[in-house]
Amino acid sequence: MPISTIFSFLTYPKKSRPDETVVSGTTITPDDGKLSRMLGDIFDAAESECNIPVMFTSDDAQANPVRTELLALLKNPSVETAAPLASRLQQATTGKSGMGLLFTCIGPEGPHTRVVLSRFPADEGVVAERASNKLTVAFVEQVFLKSSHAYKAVTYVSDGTAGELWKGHAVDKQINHGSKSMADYWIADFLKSDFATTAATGTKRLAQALKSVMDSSADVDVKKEITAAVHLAANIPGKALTILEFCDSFNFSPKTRDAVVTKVNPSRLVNDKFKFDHNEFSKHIAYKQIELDNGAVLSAPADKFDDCFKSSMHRGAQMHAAQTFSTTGVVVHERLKMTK
Amino acid sequence: MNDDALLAEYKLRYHTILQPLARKLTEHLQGSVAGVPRIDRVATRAKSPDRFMAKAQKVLASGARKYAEPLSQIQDLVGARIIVLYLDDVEAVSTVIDTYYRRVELRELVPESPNEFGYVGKHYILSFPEDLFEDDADRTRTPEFFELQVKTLFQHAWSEAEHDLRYKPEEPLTPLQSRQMAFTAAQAWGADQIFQALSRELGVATSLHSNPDKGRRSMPGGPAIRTRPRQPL
Repeated sequence: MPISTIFSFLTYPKKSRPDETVVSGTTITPDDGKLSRMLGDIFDAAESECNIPVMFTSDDAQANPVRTELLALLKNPSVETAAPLASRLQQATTGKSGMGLLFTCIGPEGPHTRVVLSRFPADEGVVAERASNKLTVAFVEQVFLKSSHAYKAVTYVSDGTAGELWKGHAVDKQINHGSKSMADYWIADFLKSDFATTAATGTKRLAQALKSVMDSSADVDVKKEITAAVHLAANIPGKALTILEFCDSFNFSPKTRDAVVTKVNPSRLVNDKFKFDHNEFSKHIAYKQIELDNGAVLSAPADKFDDCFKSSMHRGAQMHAAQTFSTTGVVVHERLKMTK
Repeated sequence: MNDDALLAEYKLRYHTILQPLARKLTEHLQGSVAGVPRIDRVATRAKSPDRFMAKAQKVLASGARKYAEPLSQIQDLVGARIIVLYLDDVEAVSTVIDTYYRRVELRELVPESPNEFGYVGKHYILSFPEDLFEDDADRTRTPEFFELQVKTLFQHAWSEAEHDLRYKPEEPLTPLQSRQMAFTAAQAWGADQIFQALSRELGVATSLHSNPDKGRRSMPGGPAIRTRPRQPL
């Protein structure tokens, strides 16, 4: 679908100077030029490229300032109604993220309206012109896009109904460019949003899928890979990931990866982004372990421990009573460990 | 959309989308509060077509309809209620809700004046978790939010009886009847206060919170978490 309206703003890092809200903006008429084509490509691909569901945070009274500004922009698209978003971006931007060009693109999406906000890092520069026998160096008072492929974007589809536009989809195409993480700068600071899925919900979904594979799979290799990942998952420091990214980060074999994916219902949620929450993870995939004074260590999934081990208390004993544990099963794995 | 078309559309959604969604939500909420002690019940319901139409047809003082787009503006098409024993348990459940769900609204409903007694409750408007929607769901017809109420047994009991009594008679309540209603609210409020104090004095809240498994309380005749279909939420 073609873009019908484009507004562009040059934004500076003003997080430490929030009072300076002046931004320069302009309307760009869509044409066949390179810039329009580049923005058109981003606009057309927004539905698939922007794949991180985000949701505006609320003040508990169903209000969010960015959503309010977005609704005002869609109601009456103009440089003036787009400017508050540019000012907001400026005030969320630190020197590390630097100067940027914000493009606000609006166009039809079937019977609805799509808006795409994209920010490209920009810079001023020095140009050196080499002639046959001399070099001319000059500061160029123009702004350059550092790269047309490195940008952050977010898209929303408006159907004009009441209570719309709480949710959108974001993407960070400059995730490896050393800037502040997308969750902090683009989603939280600028958009006043968060991942649509809470850390606990996403992590619980992941843990339950892994646990479900452990419970149902008869493949020892699959179980080994998942057990190793569960132990190592403690080292994931609140990172934003998807279930598929979790599988890939632990180099799951194709059969283990497939086994996990089939346990995620609905299946699209394997690509749903959330912040990993180690405590939540442990809650759902924890192992209960008890150690006896004879050196034995018994371990089983916490929710199945009492099914795995039958215990009986020795008669007459009260405090620190000796207990007998018994279990029956087929040995599927055996290992020697240096620690418990 | 005229009222006949609205009713027809709502009935279709009620049977094919909202009722199944309410059932899924019950399971999701139960799973979320599974470790929280002293949950009396988790109940959900899809708003019945009759009640939906009654709400959709509400008019303002100006005579205009309150809801221009009732299908998207009315946010309790699916409603849920979590009933707990003590006031401290309301806070415990609220913490869990904030962990697992994204909210757009939170209201602590209490009487306007400290000298009044009446409706008390904690109301949320929450975003439906994506887990409840199949990949091929028609998302243009599914609601985005649901209402959740978290209440104590006494708050719940009072609001149910009050709703039944206050809205059934055609005539408004007399001053004496209103005063009697407020008296029962005061008793429910007082009972919650005393039970809260007792649970703290007796260390019930502390001991059970620290041991969720031990704290799971089976209600007579039912499991630790019960569900029951109901209409008014």
